[in-house]
Amino acid sequence: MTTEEKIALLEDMLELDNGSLKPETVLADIDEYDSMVKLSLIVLMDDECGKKLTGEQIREFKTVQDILDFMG
Amino acid sequence: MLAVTSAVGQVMNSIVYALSDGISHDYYLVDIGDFDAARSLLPKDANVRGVFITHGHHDHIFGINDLKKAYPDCVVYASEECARMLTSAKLNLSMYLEMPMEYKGEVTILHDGDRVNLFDGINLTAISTPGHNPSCLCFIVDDYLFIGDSYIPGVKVVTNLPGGSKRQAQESVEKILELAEGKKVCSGHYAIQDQKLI
Repeated sequence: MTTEEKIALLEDMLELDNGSLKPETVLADIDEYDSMVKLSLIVLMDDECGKKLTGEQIREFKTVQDILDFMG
Repeated sequence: MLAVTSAVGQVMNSIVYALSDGISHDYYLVDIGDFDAARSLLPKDANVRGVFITHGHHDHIFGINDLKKAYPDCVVYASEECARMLTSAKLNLSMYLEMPMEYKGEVTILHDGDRVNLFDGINLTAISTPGHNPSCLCFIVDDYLFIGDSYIPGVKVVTNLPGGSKRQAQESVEKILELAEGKKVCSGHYAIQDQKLI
């Protein structure tokens, strides 16, 4: 999966317009990044990347790049 | 006359509602995210005759096995999709939160428009309101409307979990707003609200 495809998945999950997210975007600055979205993120990582994401790992994410790195 | 009480549970602060006629010992519940919350609403001699599930997410069903253990004759009412979610920790999302739970018992399936008699002269009507999740049902009982997470006043409907649909959610919200006319609206994560607060 390319970086663009990964970002598109995240934008879709957050219900944001295409091009809204950049790797350097700070997660705390995204209004839509709430607890329910974090659950969506866990599901997304499992379904799309086959990776288990824990609450502790989510808390360590600071930017979109951190999520992209996790996605591999 | 229908009496409704509510308690906030420990699992994502979802709400359990207890319905009674104020005369008999019979009770019905709407959602069962936390059995301890439900128990706090019930007298010791309560006979819980049924539980109506608004949708199949873990925070609205987590206490179902404890409920059935305490009240084996309690009938579980849910949509067909919800019945499937009850049997799968992946579908009901509990697996992702490291608190997997499944319910393998019987479920009485409710479809849009189905009616169930609760008490003398008091019926429940199920209304299909997909969007937050395909399993979503709302329930009209007397002058109460139970809406689960299909619409939470003042909060955008969550549609980015599996099965969610923004378009369906919008249609369901419009339906709910019509149904809410003159009703006390009881959502899945806030206390009873007067319709005019919507």
